Amino acid sequence: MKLQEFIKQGKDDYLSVKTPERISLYGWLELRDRLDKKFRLRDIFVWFGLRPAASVLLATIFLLTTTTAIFAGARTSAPGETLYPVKRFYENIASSLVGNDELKVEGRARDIIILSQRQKENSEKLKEAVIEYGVTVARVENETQGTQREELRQRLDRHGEEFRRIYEEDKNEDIKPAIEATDINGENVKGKKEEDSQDSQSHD
Amino acid sequence: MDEEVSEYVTRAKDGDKEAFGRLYNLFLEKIYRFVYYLISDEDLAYDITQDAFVRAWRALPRFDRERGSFSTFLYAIARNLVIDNQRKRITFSLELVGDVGQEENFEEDIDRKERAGKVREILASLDGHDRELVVLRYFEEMSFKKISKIVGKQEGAVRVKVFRILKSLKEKLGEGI
Repeated sequence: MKLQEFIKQGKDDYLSVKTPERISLYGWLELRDRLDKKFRLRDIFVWFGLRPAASVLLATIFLLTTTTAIFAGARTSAPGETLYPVKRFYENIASSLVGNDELKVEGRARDIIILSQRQKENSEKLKEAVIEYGVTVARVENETQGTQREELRQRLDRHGEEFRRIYEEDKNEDIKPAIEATDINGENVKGKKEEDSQDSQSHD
Repeated sequence: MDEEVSEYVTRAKDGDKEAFGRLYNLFLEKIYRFVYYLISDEDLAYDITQDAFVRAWRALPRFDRERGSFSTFLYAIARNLVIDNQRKRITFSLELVGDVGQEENFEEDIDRKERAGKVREILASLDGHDRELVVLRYFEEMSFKKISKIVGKQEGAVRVKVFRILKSLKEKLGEGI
């Protein structure tokens, strides 16, 4: 087949393509309805060639909104609830960014407060939360020194006050170990004594 | 026809839907055929054709006759829609149209389909942009100037491209058929 022949046959084939009858009959009626429609937001984006940018923007907004909603919901979640792992995940990230685990202590204290408010259905969980609080306090306490330790002490004082208030309201014995865990003054005194004895030895 | 089109365009620009309907009837087959030949899907070709007319209607207030004819404007819109669509599609196949031509002679029909099949096979082997240039230049018999406006390239560049496509087609025809 020569090129001229190819083009001729191609053209014949091309021109043999006819509009299907249904389109010839109803195409304009359908189109007329569409012409009456007003501009939609999507059309505006398409018109300005912003569709990809708009999609990215909408996806980002959706992602941010969803993430914010999940973290906000997780903030008030208690152990055993669906969003609780998100709360712990957030605490882990925030603690590693800040460089200390006081946020975790705060988080465990909040667990106790939340669970004590839902005491009837969560007494077992409250006990577990109190234990975890004590463990967390003990661990963080060992890791902190100097001004950070002072900040921790103030934080624990606040927790202690809150726990005592809850205890006085409910007379719930389960919360007592948490109150005791906030009292690191004894160890502080002990620490002070050790420092004093080291000072006196050096003077000698 | 040009005066007729020009009058309908003027009226359609003022919002006259009936005038636009006339333009639709004048260009429907041409645009449908052009789109169908590039994408080879009847339903999709219809959707794209309709979309092209909707876009043309919306863009009509900004249509400037000094920059090209209405048909150039319409083909350019249809072409852009085909390109958008082809970006989403991975494969391309040119199948024979079932209801094209209605020859009474069965043998002639078979022979025609066979020849058309070979032509389409070679066309399908071309790159999408090359295929549309062949269609516009040799099947629609458009001038290089008009084609350059539709594809948005310099006239000289289109000429060079078409020359290369012809060379490539000659090679394919020499080998394939």
